[in-house]
Amino acid sequence: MMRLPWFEFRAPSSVAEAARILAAEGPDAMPIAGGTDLLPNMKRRHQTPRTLVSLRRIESLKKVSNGAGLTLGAGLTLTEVIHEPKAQPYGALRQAAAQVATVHLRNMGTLGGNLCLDTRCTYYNQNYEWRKAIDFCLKKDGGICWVATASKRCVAMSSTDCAPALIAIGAKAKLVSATDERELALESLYNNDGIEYLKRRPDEILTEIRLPPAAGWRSTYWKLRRRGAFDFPVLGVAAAARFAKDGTVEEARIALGAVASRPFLVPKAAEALVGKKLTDDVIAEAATLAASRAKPMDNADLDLYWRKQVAADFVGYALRELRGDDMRGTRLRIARQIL
Amino acid sequence: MGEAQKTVARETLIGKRIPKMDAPEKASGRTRYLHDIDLPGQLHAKILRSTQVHALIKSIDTGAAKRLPGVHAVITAADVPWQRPIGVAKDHLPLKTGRVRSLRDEVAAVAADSVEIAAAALALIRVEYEPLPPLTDPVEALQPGAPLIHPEPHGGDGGPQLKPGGPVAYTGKPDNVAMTFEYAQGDVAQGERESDAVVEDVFRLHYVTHCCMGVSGVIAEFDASGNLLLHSNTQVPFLHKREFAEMLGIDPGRVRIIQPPIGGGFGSKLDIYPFEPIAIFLARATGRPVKLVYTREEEFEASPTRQPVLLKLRSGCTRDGALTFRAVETLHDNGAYTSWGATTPFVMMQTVSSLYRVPHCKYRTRAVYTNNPYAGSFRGYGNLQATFAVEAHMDRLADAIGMDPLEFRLKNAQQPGEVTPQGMHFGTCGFKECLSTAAARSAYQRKRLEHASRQGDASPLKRGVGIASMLHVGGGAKIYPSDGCGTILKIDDFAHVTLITGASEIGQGSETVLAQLVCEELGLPLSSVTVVNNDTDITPWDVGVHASRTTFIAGNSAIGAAKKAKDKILAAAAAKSGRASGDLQLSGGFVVTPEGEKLFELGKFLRSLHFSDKADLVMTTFYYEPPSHHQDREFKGDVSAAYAWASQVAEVEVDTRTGIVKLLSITAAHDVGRVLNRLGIEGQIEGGVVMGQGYALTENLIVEGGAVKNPSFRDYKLVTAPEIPEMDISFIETMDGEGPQGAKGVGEAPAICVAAAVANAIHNATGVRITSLPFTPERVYRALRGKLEAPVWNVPA
Ligand SMILES: Cc1cc2nc3c(=O)[nH]c(=O)nc-3n(C[C@H](O)[C@H](O)[C@H](O)COP(=O)(O)OP(=O)(O)OC[C@H]3O[C@@H](n4cnc5c(N)ncnc54)[C@H](O)[C@@H]3O)c2cc1C
Repeated sequence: MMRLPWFEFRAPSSVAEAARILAAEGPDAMPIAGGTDLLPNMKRRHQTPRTLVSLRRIESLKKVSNGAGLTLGAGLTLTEVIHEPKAQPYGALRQAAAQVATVHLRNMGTLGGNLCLDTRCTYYNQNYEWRKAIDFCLKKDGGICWVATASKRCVAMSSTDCAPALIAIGAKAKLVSATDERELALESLYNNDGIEYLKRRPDEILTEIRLPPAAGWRSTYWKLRRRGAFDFPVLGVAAAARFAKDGTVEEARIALGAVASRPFLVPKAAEALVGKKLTDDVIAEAATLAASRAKPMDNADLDLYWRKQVAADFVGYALRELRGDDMRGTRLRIARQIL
Repeated sequence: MGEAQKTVARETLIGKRIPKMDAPEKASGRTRYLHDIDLPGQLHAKILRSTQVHALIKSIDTGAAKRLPGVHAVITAADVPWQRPIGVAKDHLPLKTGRVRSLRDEVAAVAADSVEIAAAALALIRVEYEPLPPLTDPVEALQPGAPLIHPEPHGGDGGPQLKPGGPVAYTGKPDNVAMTFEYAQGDVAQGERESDAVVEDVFRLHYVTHCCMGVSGVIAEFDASGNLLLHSNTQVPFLHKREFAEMLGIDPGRVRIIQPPIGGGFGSKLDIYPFEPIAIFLARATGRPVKLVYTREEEFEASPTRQPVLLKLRSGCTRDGALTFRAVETLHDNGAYTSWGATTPFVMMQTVSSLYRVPHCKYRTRAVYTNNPYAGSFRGYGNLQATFAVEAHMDRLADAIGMDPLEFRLKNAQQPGEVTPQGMHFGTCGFKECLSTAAARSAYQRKRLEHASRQGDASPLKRGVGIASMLHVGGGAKIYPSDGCGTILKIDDFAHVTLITGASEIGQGSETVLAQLVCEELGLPLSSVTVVNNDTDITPWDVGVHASRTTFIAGNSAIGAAKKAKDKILAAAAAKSGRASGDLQLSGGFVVTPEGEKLFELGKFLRSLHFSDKADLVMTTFYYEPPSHHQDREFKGDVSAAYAWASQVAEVEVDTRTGIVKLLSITAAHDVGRVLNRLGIEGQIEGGVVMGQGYALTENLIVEGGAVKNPSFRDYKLVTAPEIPEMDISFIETMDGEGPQGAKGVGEAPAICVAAAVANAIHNATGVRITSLPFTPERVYRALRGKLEAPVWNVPA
């Protein structure tokens, strides 16, 4: 059994108090929500915060509210997100959340934790001894990136399922600290850097996610991984589109996850859809464009060559589902569940 | 007994669906595993392993570790000069001296007040190494001039020299061959001349590991008189008693092993490993109980694997489908030390020579030392590898002569009464029934043609069916001096039975089936039996839980003891009632007449025996030794008292765009002799099929440069619930004359032929034959595009 390092545990009951503790303790303190990512990481000594500030007792982080669109508290568990009636119109989010990890982990893991999920890499997500044996790596305790030895930048991979889904949906994130509060488009929460992967400051708390109105939009999320449970994504494709009555695409967004250190939009591929109906040819063109931006590194499960080869197929699945094709058979094969 | 009462016809327990006796405890989390046991005064141990794949140890400095508060002992090989090499080839010292040969090598160990302190102490030990060229490819290990992994006498510097002996050739010579096996029957050259078609294939099988939920562990303690008590997860307590005693130079009678409930074994707990002697050394050094339990990473990195194999198979048949010859040569990566993995050719050659009738046959294996993890025994014991090759190859041969694969198999299948050239005697043999049942229930022949005809269709989704079969020992395996098991049975004053058996329970359900067999003899409900099976000071001898033997061997033994008890009770009842004892029966807790008249209530009757001037207790013993034989020096002999057969049909769907293979269904037909506990046997087969599925599709212990790259359940891909296929299970009940109530062993069988069936199904779906495992999407994708490098036989003669 791997053991946790020692830490001090705080469990405030309001965002303000949590923010105060974070500000006072400095970068040695970290928020913890479900702990499903942070605690295993601490056992492997990826993070060794002196203080953990638990967000689980903060009721306001569990809020779900309508306004112009939908606001989801960062403290909602993924299971709560999946079953939230108001979130049903946001297909991509539900499909992404439902494919995270396993039932137990979704019962504990939160939306906020998922969006702030540490980046991952074969050379990093190992225990201390394993990492020590390779003299560590750029992301933690070492000087060399074993994935790309010439790289000055850590190429650990963004592995959150919900982020690409929410980016395609057009969500915004709200960050609160003891001194200020800001809202930013979700895609700009992320840096393409395996170490500094978030623009969030250590004293900031992600409090809520704001989703735009869903009217007229359809969205979908497709995840590539080895098995139907447990596994992190090695490719996530999220697509959202607003359709005119005759099926012409009026607006679209395509986002990719797990192929870089951040989830990102592929505007070129989305533009290729606008003003058109989703014919097989249009889908194929957009799929090729999107897949050409998928530049995974050899630092995750399943081999690189193969992941590149199948990327366009996955974009195609997403777009065909948006078009309204019956994709249940393919879903069952890929996700092992209908979704 | 006053009025006579009528009873209904006696109900049998055999074939019923009986939940495991330990299920309520386990399901409610009450079971106390080794992890849950803490003895007063106990210390916690941890092992420092090598950081080098292959190196000389220059120095070890344990000074700082010893000074850490809370540390009670730090030991290295220098502290136990009397340690002895372990393992089948005695080439493995628990604590390494002079040289490390793999990353799992034990260099030092610590006992401390807590696991945390022990871990902190490990970090303070300084070891200086002089790296040696690593050897991680068994083919390279055979090249002339390759660095030697065991150049010094076996067991390391100063270790005792091994006497070569037995059928196994120990090295004792300056090369890296750990063991060789050679077997021959008939004249392969003649067989080849008589063939109309000859096919040659090369297969490569990968590393997988057991993944027991209960990891390896032991608690060692000495009493004030120097007697050793072990709480251990071992599968072979009686064999280990001797090994530990020899190691310590004490009488084996002074070693007692208690097995707490064991969270799975699958063969991984069949050998002695360094951690066990190390815990014992630490217990001796500290005078305290020492607990050593692996972490999950250690379990992946430092427990044995299934052995990776490169295999060349050449065989032929006549135009009308009669097999003519088969020649097999294999190369096993033995790893740095020799454990049971090296001896799996015993089983592999049985499949090669005797699954089908082959007049001429030749088999050769070399297990070669490398600096990789070493291979142990694992459910199936070489048979997954051999069957994968033989059964994929059978389809290729059938293709070569344009014969239906099922017909081809039926034509060559073994039959009851056959004595194979290797000397195996098949008393009962339901092989043909297994084949035809699995084929009929899966519509194999129709689907095979349909699926094949759609290979060229536009749809990227292809379906395929594949059939494969297996032969495995089902009545024990006589490899140790004895293959027996003892039973002590007592029936107390309240007609409660205590069944004391040598057989170990490792989660397979042996307790339940043994209790069931006893109840069947004694006419009692299952609730009146307690099974005691985990303490070598109490239980009679048994060779251990392996080779699918427990139900067969321990079952026969339990029945023997129960019969003796019954005879004794009925004789006394006859005397008391003035009837002939042959007229009486035990049923429903009574002594009854053939007409169903209840003569005596059993408890009362036993009390009357006990407390009368007879002053007698009903307590019996029985020892069962199966009527099987050791192999001779040519590996010939009837090693098992019965043989198990199975055929399985896999149906798959292959997405040719992505290479993703979905296993849709497994239709399994198993010759099990007889179903004893239907629920238990279904569970056994379902679990085995899933293990075979993992071998075929997802599991892969990635070993690169001697290092295990994926030592966690996140990265080692066990099959998860959504992947598990539909299963249709049929039982072929051949009622084996030697078996307990006609049953044969089934423990290993269900895992053995899944991968071969899947391979054949993928071929049926796509027309592409993949000769290496596992069938990951990447591998299948490449193969479908002609970009997969096929394994080649590049092994020096
Ligand atoms: C076996 C396994 C499989 C997994 N599979 C997947 C998968 O397939 N897909 C996937 O996306 N994830 C997966 N995960 C990761 C994880 O379970 C989920 O991402 C989960 O949603 C994380 O949420 P949490 O609340 O547990 O986060 P925590 O572990 O509590 O926190 C994660 C990180 O976010 C920070 N954080 C949490 N909440 C906030 C907040 N409100 N404001 C600021 N920072 C915050 C923490 O400081 C920490 O750095 C898996 C984990 C495991 C153990």
